[in-house]
Amino acid sequence: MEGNAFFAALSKGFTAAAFIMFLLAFVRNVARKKGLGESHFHWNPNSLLVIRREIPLLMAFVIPVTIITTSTSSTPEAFSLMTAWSPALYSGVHRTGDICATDHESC
Amino acid sequence: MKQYPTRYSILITWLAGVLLLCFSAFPALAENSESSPVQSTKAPQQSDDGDQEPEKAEESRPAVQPELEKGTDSPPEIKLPQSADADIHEQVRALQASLKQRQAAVLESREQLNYAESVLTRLQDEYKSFELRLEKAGLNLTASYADLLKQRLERLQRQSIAEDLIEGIESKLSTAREEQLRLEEFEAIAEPDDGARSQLLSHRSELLRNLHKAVTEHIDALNEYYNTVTALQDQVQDYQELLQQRLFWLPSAVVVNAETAGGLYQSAKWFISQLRFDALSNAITRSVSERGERTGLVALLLIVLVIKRKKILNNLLANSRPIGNVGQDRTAFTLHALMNSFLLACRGFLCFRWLLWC
Repeated sequence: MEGNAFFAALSKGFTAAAFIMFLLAFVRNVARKKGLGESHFHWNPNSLLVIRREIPLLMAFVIPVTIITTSTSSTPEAFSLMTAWSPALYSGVHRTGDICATDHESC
Repeated sequence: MKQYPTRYSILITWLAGVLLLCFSAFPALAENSESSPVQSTKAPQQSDDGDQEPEKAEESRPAVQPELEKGTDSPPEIKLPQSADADIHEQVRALQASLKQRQAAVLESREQLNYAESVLTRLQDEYKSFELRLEKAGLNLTASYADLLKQRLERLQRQSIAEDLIEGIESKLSTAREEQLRLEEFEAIAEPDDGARSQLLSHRSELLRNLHKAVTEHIDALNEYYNTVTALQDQVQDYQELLQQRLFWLPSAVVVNAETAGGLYQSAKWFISQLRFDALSNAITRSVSERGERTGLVALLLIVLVIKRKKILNNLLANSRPIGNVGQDRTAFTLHALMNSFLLACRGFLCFRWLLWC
């Protein structure tokens, strides 16, 4: 997305959301009735039912949060807002599992 | 019968989502002694029972820098003339020059070896004492101590043994071994002479023996140097691993608290306040003019996937029918089902990509 810094940040949010959405949607489609999990791999139908039922709701929660947190953390103005108000959420969304001590920038 | 999510299940899922997010941000409990009042009260206790001591020692003690310089010169190559044809004086002169060079190379290698051994010993001592200090300190480390650990790891990663140093030693070793063989051959070919040249010949033999001895010493020194540098490299890797293992358990995020929801609300408010439709329409127009083809292609793919959704679903069902029937079941059906699941999952992804390129 072209334009100002906000739209550049928004595009980063969309990128993150796109990958999360793809992963969740793929899991949901694998868990589809008579789909790959049930028919081909003989996974537990009850577990697949729970996955089918809960993933859309999880997506409804996770995707907007991802867009907002990724976008706000990508602009300097919002970064200060984000780290001031919700450092834990920021760290949670951006935690990559690599070694980092305490400062957010190094993560 | 189709099942619709009840209000209760929606609530559970939302709570699960919030919990998932909290756990993803949930660090180890010990964190940030400056900001946390609980930890700030603990700090004097730590200094009393000696847990703070390693931090002081860590700051005061100069760390070993495992940097080794590459040898300046490659070992001198001995130029041996043909014993039968060449002048004996020339041979003696060449052998004397080679002997001097070789002795200098042996001295240099011994110096490098001594330095590498001293670095290795210091690094091993530092590693052992550091391991003990970390064991004593446990996982209850402060933020500043974590920073020091991180600095040390970065330094070790920066100053690790250069790979071309080991390669250089290997090449020096192989050259020295070749020359040792060449010398032995030369000594075997050279025939003793009873004439007037016998004194010169015995001098040449002595030089050859000395040179052979020097080359053997050089090979020994290089072998030891190679072993020491390899051990040093392993030690540096162990040290890095120890630091990484310890850093893994250090907190990397603050604890989720009641302010998190407020922060999210503030962020969402800021996000909405930044959405200006005139700027958005301008940006979309500019982007479409620049990347129209790509955007059009993604839009086309998206439309095709939406139109073909029913067909993909039917194909998925058709692929599931022969499963379990020994006569008809094929691996290709599972692969087709996998592809169908992939295509069905692509719609949301493509939608976001399209928005992204717009």
